[in-house]
Amino acid sequence: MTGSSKVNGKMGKLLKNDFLASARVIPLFYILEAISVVLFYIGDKTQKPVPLALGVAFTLIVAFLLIFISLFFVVYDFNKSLFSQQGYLSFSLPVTSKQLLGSKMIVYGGWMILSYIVFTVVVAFTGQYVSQDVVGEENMNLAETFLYMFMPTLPPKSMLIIYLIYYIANFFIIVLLAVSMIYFSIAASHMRPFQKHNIIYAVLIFVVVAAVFGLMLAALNKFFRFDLAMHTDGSFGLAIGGDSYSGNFVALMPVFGYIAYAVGLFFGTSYIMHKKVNIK
Amino acid sequence: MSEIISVNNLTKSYGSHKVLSDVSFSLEGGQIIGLLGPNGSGKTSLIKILTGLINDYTGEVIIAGNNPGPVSKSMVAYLPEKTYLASWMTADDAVNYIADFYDDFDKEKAMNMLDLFQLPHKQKAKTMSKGQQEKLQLILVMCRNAQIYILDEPMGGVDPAARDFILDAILKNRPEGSTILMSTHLIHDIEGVLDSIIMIGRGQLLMQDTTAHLTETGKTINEIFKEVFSSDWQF
Repeated sequence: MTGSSKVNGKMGKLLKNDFLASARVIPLFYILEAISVVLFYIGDKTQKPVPLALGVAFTLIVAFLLIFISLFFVVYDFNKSLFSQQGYLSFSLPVTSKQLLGSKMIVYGGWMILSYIVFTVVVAFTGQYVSQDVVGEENMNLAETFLYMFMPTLPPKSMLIIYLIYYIANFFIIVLLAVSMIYFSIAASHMRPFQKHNIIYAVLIFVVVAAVFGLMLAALNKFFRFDLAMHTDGSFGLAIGGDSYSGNFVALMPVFGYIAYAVGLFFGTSYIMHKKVNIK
Repeated sequence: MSEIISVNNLTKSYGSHKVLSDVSFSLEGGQIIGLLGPNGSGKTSLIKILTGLINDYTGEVIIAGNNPGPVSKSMVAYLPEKTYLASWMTADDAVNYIADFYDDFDKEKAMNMLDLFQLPHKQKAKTMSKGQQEKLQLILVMCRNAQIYILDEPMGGVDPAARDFILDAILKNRPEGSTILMSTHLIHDIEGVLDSIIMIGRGQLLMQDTTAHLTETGKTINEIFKEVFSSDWQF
């Protein structure tokens, strides 16, 4: 086996060990969520108000906590495993900075995405359940009625699928972009000029990175906007400039902007990790 | 013996402060080399460069034919002076972690050494005493069959009995033909095992020679060190 193939084969080991490190705490909150859902279910079946109220409350609170804890671990693990004394272990492994960073993005970004999915499902489900009594009828029936009323004006099924794919993909990309911004800010805050007050600088750098991104996206949308236009006959086309098309469309420029910025931040972060950081 | 480490015109600065200035040397394989110098002389920065932890420097560094990077890291077993284990790791976790990344790691030997050193397999590193953590890290390093061992103050902060124990563990577990580069202040304790030394002070290479040649005059390495780093160096 050559030296480079040995190094390439280590990505799987990094993923395994990052997952093991994260799996000691984060899954506990998923277990807590499962217990809350069971309590919710028992309350619903027995129609006893106390377990039902507790079940609904805990299900929502733990769903919030899942997002918080995932976000906390994105920050905590990256800072602790790379820039504290543990960095001596991480940076002396026979892997590249890109592999170290990529593994953490996949594992901790993955936990973030999963937490958001669970949160969305929990909020939608409990919202639907709780509002049944307020609306006075089954929400699903209500939704079906609305669908029936507006069916003639709804876009064709193929368009709805495109919308769905677009919004799901956008969601994943935005979560990974947010993780990229956090990682870049933390890595940059450990550079020599910022090292002394690195927590304050990490926050400031994050604000600057987010502001630059907002300005860049606004400029790109103004001058280089392009959309995926969807015609009523089911065909698609590219609409350049924004004003040229007024029908159904999904904006593509922001998606490319998110991806380009996330990729740029990834390479920027790995460069800082490799060249600019000195573990104390 | 072939050249295992080569450093040419190495300079490293932190801002305007130069910690290594135009340092050049080469080391032959199979030796035990002492890297000697007072506090702040640049020893740890040099070690961090050799082990690929610092990469923004000028000059050329070659480790077993490679620039510092993933390939050289797979050949070098590095013991930093800091305790580096993750808080969630038990002794077994640490052994499995190192076994995952280094193909030359002897896991069975490491497990046996945990017993020999009376380290509890399931105890978390963060709850171990400093001495236990240092022993565990020493096991992780010396159970690799590496070409090069770079040890930064391996006996720093431990009592004299433990120093002998650590030195003994290093010498007994060192694969034949491997190279050990060891930085230390405790010259008296190790000078008997050194084949050669490098002395650096204020970021510059002051001396590189074999111990056999240096001690021909009857002086010990410790005495030579004190002569080189006389009171002038304390200011």
